[in-house]
Order: sequence, then structure tokens, then C-alpha cells
Amino acid sequence: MFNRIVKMAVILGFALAGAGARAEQSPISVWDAFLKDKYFKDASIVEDKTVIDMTTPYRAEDAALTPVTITAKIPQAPERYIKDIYLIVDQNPEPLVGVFHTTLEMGKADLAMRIRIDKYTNVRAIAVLNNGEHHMVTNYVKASGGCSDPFGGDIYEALKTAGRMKFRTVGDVLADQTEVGQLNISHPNFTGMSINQRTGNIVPPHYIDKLKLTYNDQVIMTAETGISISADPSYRFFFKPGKGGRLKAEVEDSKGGRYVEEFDVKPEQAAEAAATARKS
Amino acid sequence: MGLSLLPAGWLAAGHAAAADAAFAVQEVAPGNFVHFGRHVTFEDPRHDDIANIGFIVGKRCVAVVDTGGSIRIGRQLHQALREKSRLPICYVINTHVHVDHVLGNYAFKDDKPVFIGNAALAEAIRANREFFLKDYAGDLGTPPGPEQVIGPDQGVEKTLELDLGGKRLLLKSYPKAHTSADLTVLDEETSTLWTGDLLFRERIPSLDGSVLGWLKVIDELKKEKVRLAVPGHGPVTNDLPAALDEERGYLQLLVDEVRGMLKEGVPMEVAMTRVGMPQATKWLLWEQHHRRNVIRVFHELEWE
Repeated sequence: MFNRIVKMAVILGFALAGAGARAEQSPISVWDAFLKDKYFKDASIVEDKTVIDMTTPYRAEDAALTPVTITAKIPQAPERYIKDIYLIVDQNPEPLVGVFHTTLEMGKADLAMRIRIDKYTNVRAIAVLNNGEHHMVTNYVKASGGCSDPFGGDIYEALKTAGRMKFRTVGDVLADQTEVGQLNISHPNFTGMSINQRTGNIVPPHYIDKLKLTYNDQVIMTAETGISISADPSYRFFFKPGKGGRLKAEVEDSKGGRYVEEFDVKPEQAAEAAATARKS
Repeated sequence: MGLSLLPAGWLAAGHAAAADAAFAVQEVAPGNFVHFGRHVTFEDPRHDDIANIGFIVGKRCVAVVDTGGSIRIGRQLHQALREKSRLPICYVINTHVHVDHVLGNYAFKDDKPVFIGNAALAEAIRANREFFLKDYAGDLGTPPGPEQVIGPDQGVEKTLELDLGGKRLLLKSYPKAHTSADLTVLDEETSTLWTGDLLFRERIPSLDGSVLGWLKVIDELKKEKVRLAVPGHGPVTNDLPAALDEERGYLQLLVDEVRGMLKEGVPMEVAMTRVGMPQATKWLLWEQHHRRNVIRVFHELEWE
């Protein structure tokens, strides 16, 4: 529904921003020369797949909606667990897609989401463990280029449903008591680089910057996110449904919008548990 | 080996065609000339010659329907037109915003035609101008400039009649379907419908607008009783409903299968690898465009 907004935002907007144009020839150096220091200072980062792995498409078919799946290789155990995951797209104007603070409550720190990628770029996931270890996995993604069709709709229309949420569990509860939860949030996530079709002016940035998920009052995950998350953000994550309960999603956007929804979770009805939303 | 079986003249004719193959137009119906695009990718060196483009000649003047993916192709179309007619070029009609149909517009600028498109096309062109300039700079002039990406002077809200002198054209705009600004052109005299990319043949349909909108437009187009249809890609057909059914077969399959997967909670990245497979061998450039179509359908239906 909104993918054309973002598509335009990404393709046109990122072109306007022109970020990384020089670095394009040697994408790896952007990280070495700049990004590593910016986000991790002196931390020593091991590049391996013993802690996390990541799946991205070889080619980003749709620049506005590129699926990224991060898979944890270790369980969330109190003695050693993943406490933060950084997702970085070297060539995006704002390389930091988001920082996701994962908890023991997740069981496994897997994460799936959709992001905006316009250029040929490295995409990195960095896991920070509770003991200070940093592990990084890097994938190269080809942007497809191709053609675009701009947002022909109305930005005000697009904002009308902002903050609507849907949650469901997917599949069965696994042997380790975890189950996949899927949260969809309606929000155009304007990058601040797209153009208002009516006025020809730049649409100011308006995107989700904070996310907090709790289950029966226990924090599952919090996150700070930016403009590289696709419109209508979609997250998949593990949590432990136990005997059922309430999942609460709290979302804030960059213009002070705050949205909270709660969903009933009945694990025995896993696939159908679309759950009733109660707006608060 | 097979060549020896061909009549002697065949080879010679083949050579002549190859020499001309640089740019050929074919009169598919009286006064309707089509240059057929090639089924190549957007990364191919000949990516500016993908779409079917052409012109319609009346007694008073000529209307161009789409101009190709570069100023170069636009100029070749212009030259081909001039070999068929010396009449003024009164209109340049664009069926939608995609590069392969509009970047040749600039080649017709000096003829001072009225550029026409769907009422939503002006916005679409304006919003894409920077993108075209950046990603398709090589298909514009040297140096490329924003003025070379020409949008419509006149927008069609619903329908518009144009008189070329003894030939009336009926232009029709559609709500969001293949793109946000689709338009068809009907030459009433010969009952020839230029569908733009609302109809793909051979080449896989690519979705930029709304799959549900497109399916509705397909149903609408199926009611058109036309003798001949010129698709945006692929050969002409005198059986428009059948050609539309083939396209519908693909799009409806995407909708049905994606809906099923959404219901089961199958993630987008998995849906991309599973949806639509029964149609995979029916379309060219499947690898290049299919997964992207799935993404768009998935996102459209996700909030249904």
C-alpha cells in the first residue's frame, strides 16, 4: 500500500542525499574508515558466524522492502546472551537501521524485518553480548536499480492509519518453549527525502524511532530505529508464550506520536491467534 | 544445416532486415505504426529499446504513442515517422511513467506537440525526474538535464477525444493499476487499442501500482470489442480478451497464493520463493521481475 511512498523516498530521496557517492567504489572502506569508529569506538569486533548469521537477498528486488533475517546461533542463556543487535547499511544516508536490545525473555535473539536499500552495499549485523563480545556478520546486497513509480497518493491519507498494529503468533510453540511473534505496524516512515506530490516540497521526516515489546509486563525487546526501516514496519521475533497472556507493543515516532496496543496471546491457538487489539 | 532448406531469397531478406534492424516500424493496422521493443532486462545495453512504441497517422496530423527509453530511441522513432509521413506531429501521448516509454519524449520537442497523459502522469514524471536523471543519465542528452524529461502538458481525467483528421483517437485514463497513471489509446477507425503496459505479452507483467486495481482494469478492458490490441510489450493480438486472461492468470495467482500465505503467517521472504511457480515457464524475464511483484502484492494485501 505504501511501498511506493518509500520507494520514491528511497530512490529519489537517497539520490538527493547522495550519501556515500564517493565511497561507492569501495564499500568496505566506509565501515573501516568511518562507521566502525562511529558506532563501536575501540571495541574489538570478531567477524564470524558463531553468534549470529544473517540472510539477505542477493539482489534487493524492491529497494523499499528488502527482507533481512538475523539468526542467533546461541540461546539467550543468563551466562552468555545477545543483549544488542546493531543493523547497519553502509551506503544508506543514515547507515544505522536500528539498535535492537534483546533479552533473555526472547529465548533466541532472532529478528526479521524489512529495510530500505538503494545502492549496492554491505549490510552488517553486529551482536553485542552481555560479556562484551562483539560479533559481526556482513552480507553484500545488490540494489536492483530498475524503475520506480512515485507515490501518487496523499501523505495525509497515508498518515491516517499510522500506529495501527497487528500481532499474531506463527507456527507452534517449539520444544524450547519459544514461539514466533509477528508484529506489523502501519506507518509511512517518511525519510525526510521524499516529495509531497501536491506541493512539490520535501515531506519532513516522520518515522518510528522507538519500539518496546513487553509480554505479561516483562520486556522482550526494545529498539531505536531510523529511516532505513521500510514503511509499515514488520517484525518477527521469538518470545515465550507460556500459558498465554498479553503482548504489549509501544511505539513512538519522531514527531511525538505514541501508539500502544495490547494483544491476547493464546498459544494453543497459535496460527489463528490474530488476537484482539485494545487501543489504550 | 536447416538453412539449406530455406528458399534462396530468405537469407537475403534476412540480411536486409538485419541492416534495418537498428530501427523498424510495422504498420499493424492502417495508419498505426508500431516499433516492437525487445525482451531484455533493464541492465542490458539495449534497455532503452524495451517497450512497444509508435505513431498513428491521420489526414491532418500524427499522434505519437510512447517514445522509447532514451532520446536516441526517440530520435529513431522520429526518423521512422518522417519516412512515413510529413504531417505535423500534434500529440505525443504517454501511456504511463516508466522510463522505457517516456525518455524519448525530448526527441519530439521541436515539433511542439501537445504532450498528453493520465491526469496523474505530470506528478509521476515530476517525482521521478531526479531518479531518471541519476539512473538513466546515459539515455538522455550530453550532458543530461532535467528539461529533457518531459511530462504532459495536458492530463486526461477520464477520457479525451483527439482528432487527427479522419481519425479519431479515444484516450482513457485508469485508476491505479500497472502504475498510478495508466492510459490507453483507441484508434476508433481501425478499432486498434494501444494498451500501454496494462497488457504485457510474453514479457512478465511488472507491478508498480496496485494488483487489485490492475485486475479490475483487466476486467474492464475485456469488455472492449477491439479488432486489434497493441500491448506495451510483446506482439499485437486480435484476441484481446484471451491475452488479458493470460495476464490475469498470473496476477490472480499471485493474489490467491499471497493471501493464503498471509493467512498462514508465511513471511514475505519465503513467499517470494514459493508464490506463482505454476506460471514460471510462461513468462520471459521471470527471474528479473517475479520476486519483486510478489513483494508488492504481499505488501498490498498485508493490510487488506
